[in-house]
Amino acid sequence: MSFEPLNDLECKQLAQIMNIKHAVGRGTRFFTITVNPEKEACLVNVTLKCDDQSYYYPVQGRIEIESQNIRDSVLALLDYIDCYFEEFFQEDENIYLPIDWKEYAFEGLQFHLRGQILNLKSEAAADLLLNTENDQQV
Amino acid sequence: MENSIPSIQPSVASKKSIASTVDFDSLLAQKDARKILRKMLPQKLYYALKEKGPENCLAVLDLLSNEQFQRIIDYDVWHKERLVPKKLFSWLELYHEIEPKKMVERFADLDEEYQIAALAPLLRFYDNDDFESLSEDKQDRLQQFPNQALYYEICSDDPDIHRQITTLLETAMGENMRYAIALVSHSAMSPPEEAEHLLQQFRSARLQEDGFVPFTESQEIFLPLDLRAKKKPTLMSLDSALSLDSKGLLFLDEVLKVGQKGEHYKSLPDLQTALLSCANHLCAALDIEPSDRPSLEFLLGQARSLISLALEYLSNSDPETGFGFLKTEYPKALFRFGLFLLQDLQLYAVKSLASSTPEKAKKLLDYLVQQKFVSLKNYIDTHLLDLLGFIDTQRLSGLLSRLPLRLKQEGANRLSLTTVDSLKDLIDFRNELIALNLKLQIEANQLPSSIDELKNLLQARPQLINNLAVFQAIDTANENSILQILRTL
Repeated sequence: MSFEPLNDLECKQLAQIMNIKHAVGRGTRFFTITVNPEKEACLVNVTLKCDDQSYYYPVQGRIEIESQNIRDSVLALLDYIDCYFEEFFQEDENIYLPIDWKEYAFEGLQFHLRGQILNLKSEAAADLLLNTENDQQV
Repeated sequence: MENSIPSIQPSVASKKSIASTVDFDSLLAQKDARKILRKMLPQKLYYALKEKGPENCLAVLDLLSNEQFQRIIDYDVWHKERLVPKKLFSWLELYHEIEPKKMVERFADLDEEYQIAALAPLLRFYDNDDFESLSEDKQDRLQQFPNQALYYEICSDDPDIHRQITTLLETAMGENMRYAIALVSHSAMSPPEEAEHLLQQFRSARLQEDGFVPFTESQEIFLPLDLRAKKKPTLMSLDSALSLDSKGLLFLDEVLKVGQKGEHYKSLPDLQTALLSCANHLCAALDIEPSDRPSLEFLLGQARSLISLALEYLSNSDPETGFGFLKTEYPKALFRFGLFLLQDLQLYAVKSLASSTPEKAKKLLDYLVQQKFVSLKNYIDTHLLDLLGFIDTQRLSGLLSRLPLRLKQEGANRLSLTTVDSLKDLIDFRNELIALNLKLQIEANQLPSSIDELKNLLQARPQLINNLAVFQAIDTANENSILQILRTL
């Protein structure tokens, strides 16, 4: 059974709302949202990042597909992640999520969350450096 | 296509200035002028004084209450959250012209934090022992309190500030020496910026009463209404509103006329104050100073237009129903709804571009989502001009702004950006975008495979046939096929 809880445009609209709402805390960083349905669950990604991806913070949520109201469940999960970011900014970005999946409950829903702040720009530079070194060794 | 680039003029939608209704001369001629003046909203009073020039309104200044004067100071003598003492002293100098002692009285009636914050960065205070330890050069720069072994120095190279502070202190010494000494000594001994910091908080609290909320809170005015609301408005179903004859009035004015009948007006909250509060909220959201009157006037016009648009939509263009909404809904909520209608149009415009230029449309959408309006405008100007032409580029640029504007042609060679303040405007705007979409599709040779779609579209919206963009597009496209279709309609 294929389904699309939120289409691409709706994700962008919700990301726009988050960008407006957290305009002060996010600074020049911005939010993007993707929703990827899998076989038995739906994966929600809310990423806070900057243009060059030197700051890249994907908050991932995973919710089981149990009934027809998956759309409402996904929206409730997005609300929860939005609340998390509100507290994140209020506490000067000192509230973190676990790196590995951890179960949470919110408004009668069970889901898993994880998140880790990355610096993709540095990682890409490091990868390039390592690949160059490997090539040289060969 | 165009022989010359038309000029684009910004057009202020506000029909009335917020200060234009204050006639000081008539007011002062009345017996209870003081009482009437003291009931006026400080913000309205402030803009009226600025319009006429405070130096021409000495009689009015003399009658102001302490609270009103302090609020005027709150609006005028700050820049980017910092106190500008020179501006404060300029206001006080006007009181010196009325009567020297009134200058000191006004200053002394301000909050203590204002008095200290204004003077603390500019004064140094010395007793006799300190004075003796200074060099002769330094001693020469100091001023002495009459009959006192106490000295002060004005630390500024600005001759105006020297004159202003000297006038203030000499007048204070003449009226109340103890007050003058206490003022100088407290100001000079005050920790740097402590008084100003406290003052900022008090000022901020006072400004919030007018709607100048903190920046974090102000952003909520741009948040769209709940997208999960069951009744999402659809722009494509608004054609019935074309029959409305506005006669150049805002729908809001029609609604207010209903309010003036009978006893209705008594149940309506103070709309002028609420509109001003909404405009002040926008000022805070757009980081505009309270003293920036032209910008405030523009935002007030925007607020009126979008509130009018929202009322017209919600009430299905019925002024009586609209009055019911006005009684029960906050103007800010109506503003958000009006903005939401335009944000929907923004998305439509970007989606339209996606069919002909998907990469550029994606870029525009990304900027819109990220709320990067300056980058958005730059991108439109640099990457879409060749594709769209000058007029459509300006049209898109006006639409894809934080506060969307519509491009209107006035005469042969003049364009203006105006607010969207009626359903007819909104529908016309939508049709312009449909025509633009059509034009792009034709230019991209996409239509020959969707002639039926074009036919259906033109049958549903025959007014598009008169749209210039469609005819311009026909010039470049499969003319025979399209003309055949048009002949059958």
